[in-house]
Amino acid sequence: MIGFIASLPLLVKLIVGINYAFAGYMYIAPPVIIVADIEQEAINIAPIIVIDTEVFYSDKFDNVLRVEYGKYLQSAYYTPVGRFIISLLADGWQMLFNTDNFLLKDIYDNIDILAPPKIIIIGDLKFPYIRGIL
Amino acid sequence: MIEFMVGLPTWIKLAIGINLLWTSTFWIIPEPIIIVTEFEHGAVNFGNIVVVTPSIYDVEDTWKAYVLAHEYVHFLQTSLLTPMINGPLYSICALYSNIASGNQWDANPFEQQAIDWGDKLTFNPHLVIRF
Repeated sequence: MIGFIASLPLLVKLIVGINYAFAGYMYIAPPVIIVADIEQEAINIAPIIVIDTEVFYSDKFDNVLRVEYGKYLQSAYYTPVGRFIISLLADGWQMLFNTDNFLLKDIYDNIDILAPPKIIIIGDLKFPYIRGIL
Repeated sequence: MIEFMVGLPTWIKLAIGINLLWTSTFWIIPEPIIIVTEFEHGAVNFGNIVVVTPSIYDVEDTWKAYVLAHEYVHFLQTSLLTPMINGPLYSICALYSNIASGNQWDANPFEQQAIDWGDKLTFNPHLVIRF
């Protein structure tokens, strides 16, 4: 194990380090919420949650925020890269066996105890480059 | 999992968060900072920092190579286990080793691994501070 870790390329070590840094931040601090015009209702990228402007001003906001916060907690627990890999497995499992997505099910089962976080909202800003990526 | 995370006390979240942030530094700067200064214990690892005495560091021989590699293994152990797990675990093993063998090395798996890998690894430090 020691030899393996020592021989890892610098890029891999950097990715592991940034992954740990994000997870550490997510245990300590609330998510950064960005309100922007995006095609989905919301997306979650490590400690950043981007919520669509339309959703932000609608009645759905509280529920969408709770779901995204649930994903945020899962990312802290599994680390962002870990949750991404598990979410791929969950999607695959859902498609193969026609069952609920276990990650999302965990969130929806506990939606009532997910208190909307103390949030940092950087909004009502426009991020055309975010839309461009998506 | 959500229930578990929501139920965690704030101080535990803080401890885990600090531990993970600290661990991230081991991976983002993937080698210890070597401090060369007069030091009675020869060489010791303190997480991201290795303190080594000039009488070892300034002499280019196999002993220096071994000592640096040995301390680098301790750095790697910490990056794997995270500092807040590695520290207490090392202390328990050192205590056990002291009881079992009379010193902190002979029955301490952390030290035995570092001794074992000290001869196999090569570590050329880039971050050296001299006092």
